[in-house]
Formats: sequence, C-alpha cells, structure tokens
Amino acid sequence: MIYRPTITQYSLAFIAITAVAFTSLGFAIYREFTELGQKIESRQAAEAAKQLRESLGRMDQLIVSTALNIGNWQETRQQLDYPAYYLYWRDSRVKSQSFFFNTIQAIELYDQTGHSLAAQPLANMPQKLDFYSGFTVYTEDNNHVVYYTAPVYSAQHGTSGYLLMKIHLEETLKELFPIQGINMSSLNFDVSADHFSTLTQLVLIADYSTAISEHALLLQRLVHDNLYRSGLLIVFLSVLFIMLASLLIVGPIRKMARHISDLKDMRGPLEDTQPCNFMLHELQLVCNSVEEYHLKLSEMNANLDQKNQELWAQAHHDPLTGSYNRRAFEMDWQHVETAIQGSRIDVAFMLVDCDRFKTLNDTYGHNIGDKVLVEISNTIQQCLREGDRLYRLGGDEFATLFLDASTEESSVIARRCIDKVNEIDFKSLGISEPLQISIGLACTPATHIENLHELHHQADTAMYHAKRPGKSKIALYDDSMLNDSLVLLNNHITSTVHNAITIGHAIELHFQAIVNCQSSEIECYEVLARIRDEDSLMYPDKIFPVVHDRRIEVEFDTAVLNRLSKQLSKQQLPDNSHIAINISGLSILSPSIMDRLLDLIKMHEHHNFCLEITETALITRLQHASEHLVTLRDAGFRIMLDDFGSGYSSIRYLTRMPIDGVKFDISLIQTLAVQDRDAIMVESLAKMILQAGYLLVAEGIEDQDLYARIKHIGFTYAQGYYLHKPTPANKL
Amino acid sequence: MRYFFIGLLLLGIITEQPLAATHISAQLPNGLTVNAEFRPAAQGKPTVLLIHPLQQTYNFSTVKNLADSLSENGYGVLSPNLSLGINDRKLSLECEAIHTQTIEQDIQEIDFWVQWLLHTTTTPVSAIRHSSGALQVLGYPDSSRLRSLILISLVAIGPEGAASIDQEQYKGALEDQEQGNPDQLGRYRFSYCNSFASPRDVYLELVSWDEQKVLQKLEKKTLPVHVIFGDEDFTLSESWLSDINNPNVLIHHLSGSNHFFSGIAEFDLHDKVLEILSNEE
Repeated sequence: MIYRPTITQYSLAFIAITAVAFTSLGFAIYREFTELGQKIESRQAAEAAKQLRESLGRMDQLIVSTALNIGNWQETRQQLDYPAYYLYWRDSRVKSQSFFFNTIQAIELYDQTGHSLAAQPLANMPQKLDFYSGFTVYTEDNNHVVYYTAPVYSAQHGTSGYLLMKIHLEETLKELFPIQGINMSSLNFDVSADHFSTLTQLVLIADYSTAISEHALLLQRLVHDNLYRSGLLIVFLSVLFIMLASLLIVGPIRKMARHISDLKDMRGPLEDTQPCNFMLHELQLVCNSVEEYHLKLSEMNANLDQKNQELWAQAHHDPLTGSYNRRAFEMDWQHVETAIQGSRIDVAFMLVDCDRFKTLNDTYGHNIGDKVLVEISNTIQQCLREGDRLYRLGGDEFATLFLDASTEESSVIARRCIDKVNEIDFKSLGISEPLQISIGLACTPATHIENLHELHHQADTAMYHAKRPGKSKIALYDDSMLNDSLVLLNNHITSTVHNAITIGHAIELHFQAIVNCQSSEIECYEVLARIRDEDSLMYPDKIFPVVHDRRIEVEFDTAVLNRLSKQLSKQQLPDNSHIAINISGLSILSPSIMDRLLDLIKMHEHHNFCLEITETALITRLQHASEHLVTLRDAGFRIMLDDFGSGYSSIRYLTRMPIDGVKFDISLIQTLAVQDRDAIMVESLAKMILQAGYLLVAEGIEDQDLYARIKHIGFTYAQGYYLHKPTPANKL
Repeated sequence: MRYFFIGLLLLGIITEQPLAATHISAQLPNGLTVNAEFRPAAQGKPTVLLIHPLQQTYNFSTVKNLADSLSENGYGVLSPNLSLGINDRKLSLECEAIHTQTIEQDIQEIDFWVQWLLHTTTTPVSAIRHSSGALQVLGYPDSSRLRSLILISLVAIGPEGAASIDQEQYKGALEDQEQGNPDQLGRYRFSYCNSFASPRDVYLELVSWDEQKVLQKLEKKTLPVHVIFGDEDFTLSESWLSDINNPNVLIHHLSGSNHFFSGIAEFDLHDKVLEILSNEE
C-alpha cells in the first residue's frame, strides 16, 4: 500500500523546511554580519591606533607649546631672576594663564643647575632634574604620568632655567584628546620609567581594547534583535499556520471526508447528514459540488436501477406477450435443476404449442398472429398457479415449470389451459377457423436426476404426439413415445431430407394409381415422394415430420415438382395420364410454386394435372388460397380437397372452396368397412358431396369389399393397395 | 576748531610721515634688561620722554598714539617700558602679577632713560606721564636735564578716585609692617585692580603717594609743570582740583574729555600737549 502523508504531516514538513531555511538564512546573515563586524573591528583597531597616535601627537604638541609659552612668559623669567614669590607664581599665577590646561598636575621651575626653585616641589616633582629635555613617563599609583622638561631661555643669558611639567597621561587623553575608537578605561602603557623624545612613541607600548563604535553596536544589536524577533515571528507564524491549517484545512477536510463517507453509504436525499457548512469558501463550494454530485449520482443510480430493472425485464420477458422469454427460462431452468436436484418434490414440464400457427400467421398476417399469441399467453398465464412462470420459448411455443406438482395436478392445469384457449373468441381478430393448442407434458420426481435433465426433451416428444391428428391435444410423456420422436430428433433423417431438397436427385417419385370406379380403369396417378437414403427409401412418415417441423414445405414441394417435371420430360409416364400432386397449404400460397405449377402445365400439355390440398391448408388462409386455386383451375388444374375428415371437415368451408372434388381421409373410408352409424354418416356425407357436384375420391381401399362399398355409394374414384401399390414410374 | 585740527592731522599724516621708531634695549645697573622705543626728533626740535601708565608698556594706545603724534610734529620721543622688576619686560603686567618694584625704583629707571637721552641727544627733554604713572615723573628730582613736566590726569593715591585703595587693607599692611616680614606678598585692591599682588612694603611705598605727598611734590617743583584734566573726568574730586591749584602748576582743562581722553578727545589732548611743547620752544 502506498504511504500517503496527511495534511498535518505536510504542514509540519512545510514548517520544518521553512524553519530550516530561515535558520540557514539567519545563520548566513549572522555569519555575514559577524565577518562584517570583524572587518569593522579590524578597521576600528587600525583607526584606534591611528587616533591614539594622533592624540598622543596632539598631546605632545600641547605640552611642548604650553612649555614654550610658559618659558616665554615674562613672569616665568621674573621667577628665575627673583624667585622670592615663586610659590605664588607656581600655585596661582601660572595656573591662571590661558595656556595652562587642567590635566597638568604640577609645574616646577629649575635653575640653570637643575635645582628646583621650590624648597619642596609638589607632586613628587624631583628636587633635581634627571633629564633636561624631552618626555619621561612614569607609573604612579597605577596611573601614567608624563614629565616634560624644557629649557627656559632669555635673550641675555641663554638658558636661564628649566621648566618641568607633570601631566596625567590617560586623563589628558581622555579629557582633551578623546579617542573614540578606544575604550579609554582599558588604555594602558607597558612602561615603568622610560624616556621618550616624543609621546607618539607610546603607541608602540600601548595596550587597549578597541571600542566598538556606536553604529557597529547598534548594527550588531539590530541584527541580533531582528534575528531574535524573526525567530519569534517564525515560531508565532508556525503556530498560527498550524492552527489555521487545522482550523481551515485539516479539520474541514476531515469533516469533508466524513461527509463524503456518509454520502457514500447513503442513497437519495441528504436528510440524515450534517449540513455542509465550512469557513472556507472553496471548501464550501467543493462540499456543495459533492452534494450536488451525490444527488445527481443518486438520481443516476435510481435511473440506472430502473433501467436495469427495465433491461432485466426486457432481457427476461417477451416483449410481445409479457411472459418470460427463453433467456429467463434457461436461467430459471438452470437454477431449478441445481436447486431441486435430489429433492423429493415432483417436477413437471409443460410445453405448449399453437396448432397450425404458422399457417395462421401466413394467412392472416403477423399482426393477427401476434395478437393470437398474446391472447393465448394471457389465457395460459391465468390458468397457471400462483408463482408459476410462463415462458415463451420462441414462435408459438410456450413452456412452464411446475414445481412440487404431481402428474395429476399438472395434467389438470394443462387441461384447463386447453379448455380456456378453446373458449377464446378469435372471431374478434377476424379469425373464423378454430384455434387450438397442443400440450406436451413431462413429469418426474426430482430424485431422478437423469429424467430431470431430459424433461424438456420429453415434453417436446409428448408435444409431437399431442399434435398428431385425432389426439386429445394433451400428451403425457412416456417412454413409448421415444421411438416416434426419434424421427424428429434424428439428425440423419433431417440431413437426408435437407440434402434431397437441395440436390434434388435423391427424391424418388412413386406413383399410385387412382381408379375410376365406374370403369375400373386407371385414370390418374398420385405422385408420392420418397427419398433415397443409400440403399433404402425414406417414406413420408419420416419425411413430412421433418418438413413440417422445419417449415420447409415450399422447398420440398418445389423439389418434388422439379423431379416430376424431369420425369415427365423423360416420358416416364403414360401420355394423357392424369397426375395428382400433393401440395402443402403453405406452397399453394407461394408465388414460386404457382409459377412452377403454371410452367409444369404448359410444359406437359399432354398430361392432365390435379392438385391435392389438405383442408387445413385451405381453411387457414382461405381467401388468399382461393385466389391461387382459381388461377390454377383456370390454367387447367383440377383441385381436390385431400384428407377430408381428418380435420374440421366443415361442409360450410367445403362450399366456399374453389375445388373440383374431395378426397375422403382414410379414417372416414375405414368407417365404411362396418355398418354402423358412423358409416351411415359418412355414406350420407359422400352422397351429399356427390349430389353437390363434386368429384369424390376414396383412399385406403385395401380390399374388394371396401372397394365395392364405395362403388355402391357412388365414389367417383378409388385408391388403395387393393387397386394399385405405389410404384416407380419405370415400373408402371 | 576741533575738526580743523583733525583735518590738519590727516593732512600731516599724508604730507609729513613720522620718523620710524627704533627699538631700544638696554641693561640697567641691576642687570635687568629694559626696552624702549625711540623716535628721533627733527632738526631743532626737543625730545620728549613719554612714560606709560602703571603696569602698561609703550604700546599702550594712549601712549603710542601720543608718541606718534609728537613724532609727526617733529618732536623726538623716547617711550620706555619700565621693567617693574621683570627682566626684558615687553608686555603689560596683570594686576595679579607680582609687583616687586617700588616707585623709587621706577624713578631710577626714568633717570636711566633721561641719562640715555642726554647721551643720545642734545635737545631739552620734557617728561610726560599719565594718571597715577605721573607720580614717578613727579618724583623725579628737578634738574637741568628736564625742561618741563606734563602730567595728564594727575591723581594721588587715596580712598577714592582713579588711584583708590582699600583703607582696611592699607591699615592691615601698616600693622603687618610693624610685625616684620617686609617681603610678604599681599594682594590688594588698588585703582582698577582688585588683587594687586605686591610685597607689602612695595605696596605701602606705592600708596604713600597720597594727595598730601603729591601736593608737596608739586609745590617743590621748580620746573614748569603742566597738568591736563578733562572736564568730564569724574574720577577726580572737586577738592583735588582746587587743592592742586598751585602757582607752579599750569592746569589745562579740555572740555568733553574723560580721565583717559578716549575717542576724539585724544586729539584734543595731542593738540594740548603740542601747544604746551610749542610754547616752551
């Protein structure tokens, strides 16, 4: 972790650096002034020596001139000539003269022989002179005195006597020739009783301390005072800085940090936090900005939460029906698998699919199809238990999981869903045909882990069974369904079908004769598609589940038409024979199929063609399909309604269809094998249709009795293994 | 009249330059060296011995100016410095200086200079002295060596006036004299000196020249004696003027002059002296 100093530490570091810088600067200044002071002292010492020499010189001149004045004074000569009143002269007269100065301690006159005029000279003045000229310096009572001897001349006698003056050295210098550069109290001369020609020679034996000048002292004191004051100022400023930093920066920033920390754990408004209040304008601005930022962030978070919820909802819900989508299903399924694995609860998987929804979608448009899905979804959701989720897995396929629901409970719910969907009035959406759903149901205890994983697959298999014609629309999976489901789930079959459609030559066409019941002559051949799978043939029971499941009816029919056209071109069928072609409901609506059919009839004019279309295909988009059928009829095609009786078998619809005949489904024909009420109904229906002018074809004639029976009823054509088995064209 | 003489004097200065003064240095018999200034006389003109007042020198302004004036008028002038007991004295003597010389010793020095004149010149000598200094001249004995005496503002030693003394000091000095130690140095109030330093006997000899002694000296004088007073000399008493009125003394009064004939009165003095001298020729 990187160490980050606090503001206090930064402040202390700043103060320390400032103190060190100031101290260094202070020492530098102090050293500069010290050197300056040393220079000043050195100069002062030289100046002091100079001043001392000058003062001594001036003192020398003063003494010499004073002695000269005294010697020239007529009253001095008077005393040398007549010393009767010498004491008056010495003690009074001479001292009253202007040339006398105060530091002269004593003056004595001596005669030509050097003897004093006074019997008792004053102040240790000698009775007899030792020196007759010059200066002599003595130390007396720790003081230095200068004795100066000078001859007194007269015009007539030359040297008429001598004058001896005793002068206090330091006192004279101090009073008359003060030396500023010398501390006068320290002035001393290393002398005992020496003789000098001039006083300036005393400089050589002078000992003194240099007086620091007033300016230097002032400057030195000023520097010290300023350094001391500056130091105090720095200490004061440092303390003030720390206090201000603590008051204005550290404290507020800590407060700000706490405030931000409080904000961090808070969503929404700032009701529970301390109000943002700082002394510093900038910090107040920062705090306001942080609070504004927090509010905006909170708003943004709220928006994000809402968006996330919306996104989650969008990601996990089907936008059309409002039910959960496949992603939610996969997540829930994964969660359920993990959560309930090994528990004792029962789990049911219900798969719901809308019958013929694609046909409906193609017939009425996607808008109507979507509305149908919404209605079905809402209805199913209402039928589920509270907490059960409905998932739209894709297209018209819905699913739901029943946790802790037995097989019976699940079946009841499924039945309720079927019933409720059947009660929906789709006429409001413009749909006149009945719509139904198929439900595949798979149940297993959670303890069966392998079954749990296969539950979806099992429900799918059950769904396949539920969709089969004649079933109850609800199928509960059992293992017997597994083989049938393999058709759908066999990848080999699927790829084979796809390859056959794509390549075309793998499709083999077998032809089954349709016999005219009146003449028992073959009048038409129904084209039956097979797919060559290496050495074996793949029959419709495996082909069409794949075709329908993969919604490739148009492609398959196109491939069949192409194959038929080639075979006709090769004249593999008898001339003028009728060819009955099965066309899916989707194909009849396809413009490309229309074009292929119209081309076919033009290319093979020596053949007659009949189109067999299941009623289911016609009912879902009757109007659109009818237009195409009319076109085809006009082109020469005969239109037959195939598998009549396997679906709605509505007489009303029958009358509205542009068809030439009806082909009863094998299930209706087989009812004629026994004499019961169903047979009567079928027979009556057949007769009614015949009376209405339609051609009537019976398929599934597998024995003579049944053939006789239909002939008796009046069927126009018959078809079945009894009459002719499907055969390749080259074996016709 | 005064301005007329002033004009004449100025004209004389311009037209007739005085002869240069010569410094004379001589040694007295007692060994002291004395100095004098000598201005030789013009042809046929007499010489004047001009004595300075007490304690002064020939450089005293009244003396010097008068000497110059006389010299300008052709008179010879010898103005000596009385030694006052000091060898080679060239400066005036302060009151506090030791005055060791008596008037009698002064008279001896005057005699020395009179003799010097008689040896130097052949012209008659008149002696002129001012105030109390006139006492030495007055004391000089009459002889054929002097032709006349001119005494200016003549005073006598007394309790008042220009030569006043302190009577108490005087009495004290007299009493001390009786007790001996004649050389005791005393300090006395004398004339304008408050502390006139002098041996007692010298002092007593000086103050002995009182009015009586002066008047006696005047009466005994055979030489013509001229006394010049300023009528505004308030140091003189009325009695002194009346007492001095002696047949041997010719008194001259100069109006507007004080004791020192200061200012323009000095010119009147010079005129008067010249007049006296002129009359004597």
